[in-house]
Amino acid sequence: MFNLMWESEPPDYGVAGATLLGYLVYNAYLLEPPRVYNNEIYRLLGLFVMNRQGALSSRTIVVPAWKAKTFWPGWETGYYTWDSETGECLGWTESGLTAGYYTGQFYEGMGGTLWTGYLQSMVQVDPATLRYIGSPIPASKYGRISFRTPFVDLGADLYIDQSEDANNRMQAYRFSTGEPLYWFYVNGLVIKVCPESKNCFYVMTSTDLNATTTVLSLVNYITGKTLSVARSPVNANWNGGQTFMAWDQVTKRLMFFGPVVNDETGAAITTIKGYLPIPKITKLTKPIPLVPPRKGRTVPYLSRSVGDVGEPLNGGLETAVITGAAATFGPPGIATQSGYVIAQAQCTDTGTANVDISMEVL
Amino acid sequence: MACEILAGPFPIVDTVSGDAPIQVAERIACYYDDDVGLVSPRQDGRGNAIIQMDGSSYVRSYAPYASAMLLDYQHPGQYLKVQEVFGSYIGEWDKFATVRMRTAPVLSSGVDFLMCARMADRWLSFGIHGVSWRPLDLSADWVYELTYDTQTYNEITVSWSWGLVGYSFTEQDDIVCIGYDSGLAIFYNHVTKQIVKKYFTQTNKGLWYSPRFGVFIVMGFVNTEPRHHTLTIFHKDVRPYSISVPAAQGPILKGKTTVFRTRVLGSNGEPCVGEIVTWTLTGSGSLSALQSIANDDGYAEIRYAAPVDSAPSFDLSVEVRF
Repeated sequence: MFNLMWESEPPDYGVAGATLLGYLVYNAYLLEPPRVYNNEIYRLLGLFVMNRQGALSSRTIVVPAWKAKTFWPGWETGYYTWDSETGECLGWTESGLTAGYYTGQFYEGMGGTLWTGYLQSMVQVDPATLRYIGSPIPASKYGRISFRTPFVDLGADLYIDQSEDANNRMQAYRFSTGEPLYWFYVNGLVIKVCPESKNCFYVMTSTDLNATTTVLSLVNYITGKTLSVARSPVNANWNGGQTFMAWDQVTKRLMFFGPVVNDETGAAITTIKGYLPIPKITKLTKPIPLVPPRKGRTVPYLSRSVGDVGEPLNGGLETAVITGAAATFGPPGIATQSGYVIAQAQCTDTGTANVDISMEVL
Repeated sequence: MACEILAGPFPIVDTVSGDAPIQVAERIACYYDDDVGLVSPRQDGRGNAIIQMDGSSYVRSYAPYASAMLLDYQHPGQYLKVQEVFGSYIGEWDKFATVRMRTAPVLSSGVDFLMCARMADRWLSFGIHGVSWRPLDLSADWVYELTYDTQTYNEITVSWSWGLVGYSFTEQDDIVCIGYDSGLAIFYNHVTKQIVKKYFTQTNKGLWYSPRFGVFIVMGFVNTEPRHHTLTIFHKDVRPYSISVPAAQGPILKGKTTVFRTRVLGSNGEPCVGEIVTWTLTGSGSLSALQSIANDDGYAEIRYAAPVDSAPSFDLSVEVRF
């Protein structure tokens, strides 16, 4: 579990309204009472942060999306922006493009590069204008059928994607030549990837095919080593792709958005949530005596403070209240690096004793 | 049962989804590590469960199937996993992330299901007849380096028993703990190739040792709805089961002292160490103390001083309180 540090406004669907031509209504469901808006987000395409002036900050959060609307041609592509400081929704910008690559998702690469693609090809995008740079790269260049969760590090000349052999494996290729280089396993079926810091990315995975548990791993993609694992604050369908995440290197927030939910009037109520990605203690295990309790013995009681993927977490201050045939002995324990914490009970008599422990989580 | 239960049985539960009891993989498909917990793939396919001693569990990684985990004595504290789905090989395992490491397989052909541990110089296999070994390059077949005696074999293969259920590192690098479903845990010295010590817990589906805390983690199974596995924690100390009638260690003479001795034993006849024995004297004479402590062989002693003026007439009884 992470601490929620920041939350945005929901995307603004603009003024309630009908269509220009009442008799030519696309997506008429949008106007069925009590719905009043003439558009909604139909499909999310990405989430990233760009250095562009917002109302009060120099950073803007961008969500490219595909919208359904009531007037011709019934849909449009573009992007929403938010001020990364205030969370204010700065509005919708129509991209001006019709079909094509903008129906594909956007993938953030290392160093602020941005890519978009759909199935068999991928193309670089200028983050400032969301226009293509260069020409599309076919998946066949890498011996693949399709791009799934592409991640590009131009500095290291790497392209990394979910393996087409195993859903919990990632395959690295030389970006420029297409040569397969190495693979590594991650914690589950890959849903999303976003860059974190040099040589590292966050991988959002599902630990089973039914997407019961979504976990986040911080992975060094050069060594293939998983550096840390935590439970994702949002659950995501492992192949649906309507949940996006992004890491803001300036504000140190791990942001999530989607899937988008509307209220009964048709207004979006989903917000971008930014988390401080430091796991919190969510469980203190039951105290277990480490030696058989006997009258006259001092018995250590072991418990452990863990997070919600069972990861040990340290620093919690334990308080033990011992009643019955034993008394508390010694100062309160502090959870170690492995999360273990020990309370001491001095057995004063034969019989039974109750050991109640609690932990103050810092 | 001989070792003393410290806590449990705790049902293994899914803590996130509201403490519903769950079934996990048993025996050698799991490993217990003090840094992590008990790691076992869930039977409902939801991934590798990280289970703490009190049975609380969390899913950490994808686990489409269960396969054997091996001890890696070339990197003590680390584990190897047998991969069976896309070809048989043994790979290094990241015990923290609970994923396979990127390193090349340590064995990509010739994997057999007898392998339990990779030592510096050989593979080891733990069976019901003893411990056998194979060269690392598989140039020779399995050969027993220790054959259990009949008593040990009988302790492993009691009627309801199936055999090996787990193996663990211990505090000492040259000793491995081998667990059997009869409840027997053997501490085996793989350097001298001898059994160092035996412990008896209870019939189980998995038996591991915690080197950091000196306790056994024993998996059980509840075969009624909702079917689930449990964990019970055993101490290494033997729970007292019997105490012998005090026996004089010499003649009892007027005006002399005599050592009396009693022995505290567990249910499998193994000595109970460190238990406090209380002595009660009725009749003439006196005792050197009211209590004494059982030594490493389970013996507790007291000195009895007979009266100087009359023939000793007394009754001496012993008791262990726990």
